[in-house]
Amino acid sequence: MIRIRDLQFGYPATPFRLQIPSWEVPDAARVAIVGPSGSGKTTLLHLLAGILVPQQGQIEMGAFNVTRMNDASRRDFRASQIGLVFQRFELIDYLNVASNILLPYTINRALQIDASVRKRMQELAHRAGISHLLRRPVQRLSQGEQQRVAICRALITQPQWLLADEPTGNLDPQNKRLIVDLLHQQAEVSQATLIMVTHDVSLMADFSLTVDFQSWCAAPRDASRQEAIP
Amino acid sequence: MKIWALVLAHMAFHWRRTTVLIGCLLIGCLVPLVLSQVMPEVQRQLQRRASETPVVFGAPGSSLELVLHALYFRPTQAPSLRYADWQAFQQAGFDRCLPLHIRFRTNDYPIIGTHLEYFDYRGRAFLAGEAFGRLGDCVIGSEVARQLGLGVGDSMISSPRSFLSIAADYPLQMKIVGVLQPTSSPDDQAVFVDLKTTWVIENLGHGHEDVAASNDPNLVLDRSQQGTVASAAVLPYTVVTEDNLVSFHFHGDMADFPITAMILLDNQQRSQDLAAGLAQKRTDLQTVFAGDSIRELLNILFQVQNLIVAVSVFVGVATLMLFGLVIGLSVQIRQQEMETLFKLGASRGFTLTMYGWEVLMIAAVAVASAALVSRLIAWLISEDMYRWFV
Repeated sequence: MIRIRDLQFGYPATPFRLQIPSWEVPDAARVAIVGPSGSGKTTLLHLLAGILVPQQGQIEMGAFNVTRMNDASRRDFRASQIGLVFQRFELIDYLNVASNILLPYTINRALQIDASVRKRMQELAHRAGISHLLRRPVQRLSQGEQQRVAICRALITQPQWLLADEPTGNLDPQNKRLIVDLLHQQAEVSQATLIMVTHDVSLMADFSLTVDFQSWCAAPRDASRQEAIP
Repeated sequence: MKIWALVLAHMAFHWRRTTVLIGCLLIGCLVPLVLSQVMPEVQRQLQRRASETPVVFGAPGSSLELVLHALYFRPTQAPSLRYADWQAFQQAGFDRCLPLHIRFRTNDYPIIGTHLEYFDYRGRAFLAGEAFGRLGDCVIGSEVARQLGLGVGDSMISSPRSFLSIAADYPLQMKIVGVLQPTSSPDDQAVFVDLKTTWVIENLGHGHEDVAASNDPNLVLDRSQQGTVASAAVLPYTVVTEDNLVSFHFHGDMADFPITAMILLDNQQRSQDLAAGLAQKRTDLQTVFAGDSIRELLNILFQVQNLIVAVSVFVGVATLMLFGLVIGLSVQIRQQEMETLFKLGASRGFTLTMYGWEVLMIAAVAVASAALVSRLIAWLISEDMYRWFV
């Protein structure tokens, strides 16, 4: 369960303000976040992941109270509990596919790589259809393949929460469908909560919840608007 | 170990940039490192030669030029001594005093005219053959033999001092009778002959057919009771053989024949002081203690070394500034990558450590490479390092 209470966040020297009086997301939910550019969708993902810290309010991610953690704990929490997928993939160009997938284990001391991790990497790559590309430099992959690598990287730590920031924004329709299916499939397998920012209305049907973000941005309101998709 | 993997992968991926950075630092380090390795060995080699040849005598002039001439067989413009000067030292009891005649070259190697004792006094052993035993024989240094591919039984021809002195100097074909063992000294690069052989080359003596016994009218200008006058058609022998050896003779008083220097190969301080005292009585003779001149030379070399090191420091500072600029630009270019690593759970310190390790590894590889290259250079020129400085 994700619980947000009285959240307030703003970037210094900008008029932008994000205010969320209350928001809850059940475990293993599939949430689509929609809203205009600049409304704070990415900011919310960063707040949930502990990349940003709110000026006020509480963010509870299951048993973890992100707002009460210090910087090191938030990093460890992020590395071990959160899977992040970005619009521009953000792969490391000088590493090959396997090293990119295992990157969270390389950069954080809280995660220790072992044989089971390597086996999981193989399985993830197999399910994503990139097991034959593990030794290939990421620069030599297509956009669709690169995003599949990014999804495998997000899932390698078996996170409870999968946060995807417009992961299909740079993909053609065929790859878009493939990536969304892969995200849902992997979230299903690992029983993770999937929260995905998107502008693509054609993908809404795949999500159990859709959040219109405009209500949380700029003008403070008392309640958020959540809408269940049949 | 984890951070190393990332740093090494980044360095390998951007191998051109890594190579350039290592190369810049390597070049910056190389000159001081080479000098620090070479100079002590140069000092040792120069001082060893000076200690083996403690006192040098020659015509008045530059003492350093005289020492370089007598110890390292460098050409000199100083006037000659006479053979009688050496004879005077012999009569005074300085047995270990040797004459040197160094004016001619063969295949760009100096021809050293001296006495047989040179090899004993210097403790030289033979790789092949033996010492010269007669006029026209020569003994070559190990490097001469190696570089020219010559050995006992081969021949070398002396070169005239210049193309203008073809008639004055004598192109003598010398027979190699011995090859010296390597000594890492100027002897390795020299050709040794008997003093009289250099006088033949200098055209102070020669051999030709017996004109008095000849009936060829073209060879005799005049025949009288006082003797026979040969014509210009009588050609001197250009090679000394068993058959023509007896025909070689010298014109003039041998005591007046030139030598270019004398060396005293005696380590007894008393002998050196006595010899110097004897020479001081002569205004046409200068005495030089080789150790003093070599110290002067080393002082000059050390001053040059300090100058080069000072210049290297400036070059090094400029290199480091450029290095810092490249790293700074690299940090800017990698901003997005660092942001991604942070989002995935890396600390800000982790990314800084990555930069630090990369700088350290590049610097370490550059310094280690510079040390290796400098050792290699020092090793390559170690045997005759002095040649680069004298």
